[in-house]
Amino acid sequence: MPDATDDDYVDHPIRSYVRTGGRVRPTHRLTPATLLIGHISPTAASAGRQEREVLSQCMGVISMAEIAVHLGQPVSVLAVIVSDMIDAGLIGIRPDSDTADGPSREILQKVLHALNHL
Amino acid sequence: MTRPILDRLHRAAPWFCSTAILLFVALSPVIFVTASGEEWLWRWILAGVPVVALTLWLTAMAYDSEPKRTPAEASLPSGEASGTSGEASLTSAESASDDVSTDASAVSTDASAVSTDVPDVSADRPDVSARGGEAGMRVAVLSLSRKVQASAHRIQEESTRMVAKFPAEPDVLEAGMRVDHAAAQQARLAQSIATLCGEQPGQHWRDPLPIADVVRGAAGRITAYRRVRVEGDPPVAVQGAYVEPLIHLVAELLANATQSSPPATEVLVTIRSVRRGAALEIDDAGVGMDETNLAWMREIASGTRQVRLHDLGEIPQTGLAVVGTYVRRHGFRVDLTESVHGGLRVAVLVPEAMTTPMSADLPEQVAPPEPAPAALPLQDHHQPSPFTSDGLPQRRSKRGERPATGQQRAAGSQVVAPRAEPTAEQAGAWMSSFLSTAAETDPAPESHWRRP
Amino acid sequence: MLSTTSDSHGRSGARGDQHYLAPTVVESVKILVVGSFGVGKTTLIGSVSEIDPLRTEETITQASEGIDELEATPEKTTTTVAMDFGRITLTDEIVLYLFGTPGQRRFWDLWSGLAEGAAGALVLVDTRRLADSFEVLDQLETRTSLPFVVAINQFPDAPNYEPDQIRKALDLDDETPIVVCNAKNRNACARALAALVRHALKTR
Repeated sequence: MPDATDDDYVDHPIRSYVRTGGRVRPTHRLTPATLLIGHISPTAASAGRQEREVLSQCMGVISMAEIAVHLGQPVSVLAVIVSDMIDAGLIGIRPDSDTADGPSREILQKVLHALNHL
Repeated sequence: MTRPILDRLHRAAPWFCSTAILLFVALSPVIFVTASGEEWLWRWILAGVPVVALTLWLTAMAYDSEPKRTPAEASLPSGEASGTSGEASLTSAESASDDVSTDASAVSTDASAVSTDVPDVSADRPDVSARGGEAGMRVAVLSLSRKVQASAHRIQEESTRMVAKFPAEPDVLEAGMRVDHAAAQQARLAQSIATLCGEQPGQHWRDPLPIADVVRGAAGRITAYRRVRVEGDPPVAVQGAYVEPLIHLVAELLANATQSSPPATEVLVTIRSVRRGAALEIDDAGVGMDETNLAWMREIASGTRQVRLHDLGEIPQTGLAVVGTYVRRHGFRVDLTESVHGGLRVAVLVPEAMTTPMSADLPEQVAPPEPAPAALPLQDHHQPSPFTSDGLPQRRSKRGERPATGQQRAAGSQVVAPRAEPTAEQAGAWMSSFLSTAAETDPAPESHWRRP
Repeated sequence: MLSTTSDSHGRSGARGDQHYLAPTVVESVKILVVGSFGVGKTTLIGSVSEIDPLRTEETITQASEGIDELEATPEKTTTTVAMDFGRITLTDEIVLYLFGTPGQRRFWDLWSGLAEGAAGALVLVDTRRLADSFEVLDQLETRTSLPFVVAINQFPDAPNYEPDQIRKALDLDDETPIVVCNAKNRNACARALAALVRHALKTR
């Protein structure tokens, strides 16, 4: 039953350490808002089942967060998998221009100006 | 209906046997005297004392209505232990306990069995209470194993929550994985005990699972999961009802394979789709084993020879016994041979009736979407709000309740997990709806979204 | 090689990382569009986005139509259960991303990550179901430090309230702007976004 309570826990036959081979540190900096794009078709024979699952979510630009939700995996686990896929050239990452501090005043002013003339 | 007669015969047999041996003892002086003059007495004593002791022991055994089946006994060439045969998936869990052994006579005629058997504490108890004790023990063991398994799953759940709670901490993820992994093995052992007690697995999966994922799921339950390499990923899924038995079965085979081969070697699992279903081959790089042992293991793993909990002995080897139990119960086919790689090869056939084909382009077959999305219960978390004078519901701001650490965490690998993961059905539904949405909107004119 | 949505829009550019954007774009700015179920996040993002918003939706089936939440929006047959994602290329150099983030508890953990680096949040509210937005506001206040603006998505049959009445009901401080906007109207949405950016500039 889909339920929105905090006690919503769903068991999965494939444990996270199997998915990542026990690795926990992604080789790329991937935030939930990091945008990804698939470089090959999800049906490509060169990709394994796990990669195809991720690729099937990356047929357009999509954020890590969305993929994680769709696949029912923690972002931290997905980050390790996606990092490998980036290294293998299966997925591209948009250079992450968002910083923890947010955009500068200068940028915001340009944004405001553009929005006012949209 | 013939059971009482059989029972009586069964119990009388040792007595007949004992009488025969006593007769032998009594007559032996005559035989030995004729052989050689004065040494006959020593010979008589040397031969007679063990025989008499054996007789007494067997007499005591005759009182026991539930003779224990030891591995030693099970290995008897007479093979009566396997009288229920490989196709005996009919042997239900319930009938197992009153499956009165038919081979006590075999025991009594084979001296080798005696030396390895363990004295039975219930030897001098009346029949009925002995049987009740056994059943009671089975129930108790089963209940305890269930509790252990449940607590192991609880540990897995808690570790998952912990990981989600500290989403940006790889160290926490690592700790969570270790705990999860340890608990998964504990759960497997507990489930093995329950299985050998004749029970169904404590875990259930509703949805079909691709055969390759079954193997990955199984790998997660053994210590050396990193050594398992999976080759092949045919578009075949195992039906929900058979997912857990097969995961557990494969896990036990993988455990065997990793334990009986050097730590630096891989265990290779090859998956193929065959005409009669899906076939797995598990190859290890161990040293293999001699013919006798191989034959013995083959009989257990293939379900031809049934091994139950009380057969396990002091150093219990549950693995193949569990495999055999599932084979008998569900009709998987398992065979052991020497591997071309030098170790052992285990072949598993998952019959077609237990599988379901998958479409090639979607990674997973998913159940139809659940109707209600998770948004709906939102209101439940709010008590009926008081209202403003305008008739609007009144909110109380949480300004100032923000934790100081808040968002200003240094940028590292900022990874955030949804604490509560959606179900597989939801994820699947979203996945398919996402794909269909993309397909629909792709060619759609942009003006659809553009407003003047 | 690539079959993605942007291909269908003829947006070319280099392959790989920059595939969807003009090569001149060097800055991306992120704004969250938050609000409760059915409040119009998808509509708003669709109104202003230059691409078909990427979204994940699930059709509400007959079985759930009797549920109270839907009664207020009887004409809406689908609801957003995950995220909407839209884009506006503002200048040659700057692109604005809009993340429509659901208010359900299940997605709360995504917030902190999404909020990181965002310019601010536009909180869409429906005056007929004002209480639905309480949790979303709670989240913004307790889990993020984002500047936010409350945008009233004015539905035709909804009663009209003065911004002050809304401010009082939502217990907002005086600095938090409240704007009225029709999520279907591109210009109105742009004005709401501008109000947010203006507010963000003040708080910096």
